[in-house]
Amino acid sequence: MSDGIIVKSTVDESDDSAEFWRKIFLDSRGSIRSGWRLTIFLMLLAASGFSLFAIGILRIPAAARILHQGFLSPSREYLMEIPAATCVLVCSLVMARIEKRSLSDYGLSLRQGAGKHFLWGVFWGLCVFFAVTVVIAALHGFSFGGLALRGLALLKYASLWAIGFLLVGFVEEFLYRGYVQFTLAQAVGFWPAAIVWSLVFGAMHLANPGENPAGALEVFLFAIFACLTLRRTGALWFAIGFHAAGDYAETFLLSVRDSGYAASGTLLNSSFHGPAWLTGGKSVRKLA
Amino acid sequence: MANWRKVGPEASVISILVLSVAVFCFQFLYPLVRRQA
Repeated sequence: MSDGIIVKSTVDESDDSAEFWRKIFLDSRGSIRSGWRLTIFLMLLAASGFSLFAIGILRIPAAARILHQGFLSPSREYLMEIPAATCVLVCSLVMARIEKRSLSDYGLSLRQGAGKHFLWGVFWGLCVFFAVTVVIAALHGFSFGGLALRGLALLKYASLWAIGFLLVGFVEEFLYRGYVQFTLAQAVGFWPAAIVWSLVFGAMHLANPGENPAGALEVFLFAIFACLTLRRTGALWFAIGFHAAGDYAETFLLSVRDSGYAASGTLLNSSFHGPAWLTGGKSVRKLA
Repeated sequence: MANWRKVGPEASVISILVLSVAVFCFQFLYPLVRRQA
């Protein structure tokens, strides 16, 4: 009789222990908790990013030279963004497989209207960044200068930058507002998650050479706007178009610094003159 | 302002204002975008 009681007690303890661990790792529906899924995703991303860059690309002297050159160029964008896009896509696909979802759930839905949302995003991106520059120019803080590129060189850089910034728009939007936004939003709600990742997005830009707190604040606002478009449209296409067009307008069309980075192969010999609060910093240093 | 570095127009007060206006406008203009899409 006493043996029976001991066995029952051991079974109860074992059940309690299993329940304890189940509650730590699984939610009420038996799925892996959001925090653990987020941890798995970030670890996969860090491991794949480290493998591709530290063990792979940075070991190639020519590639390392381009990545460390300290200014933007189309080749630098491709070297950075193609591996980054591969990492974020593969890691998201792995998580989609684990969660039995598709990339549509993480903002890449290809349902009707995706293309038009993307084009509207491009239009808004161009409008916003041209508006900023036109206002600064109207307050005598910006000169457009003459053309720095002509003929084939103009066509070459116009198309290389366009593809480069499409990659940047895709990588940064999908990285900061794709899987991580979806998963954190499941735990804490859409807007708290959006604020967290927008703060991270702004803080990450502080690592750029020449970035400052006002620039990071603008990046934070930019991210909040991108989250608003995600919330309203249900996908990232508007934000990807907005991001790509904004960077293209800043870097190539208006030929000004983008998040603290100067660039080579830009359209104009533009320059800033006036107080820093108006122009965001000193004159653009033109590169070859 | 002494530590203000060479960041570009996104650190301009104008940029922050224009982006704030864009966020505000999107709220009202999105129904138009949705109709177009």
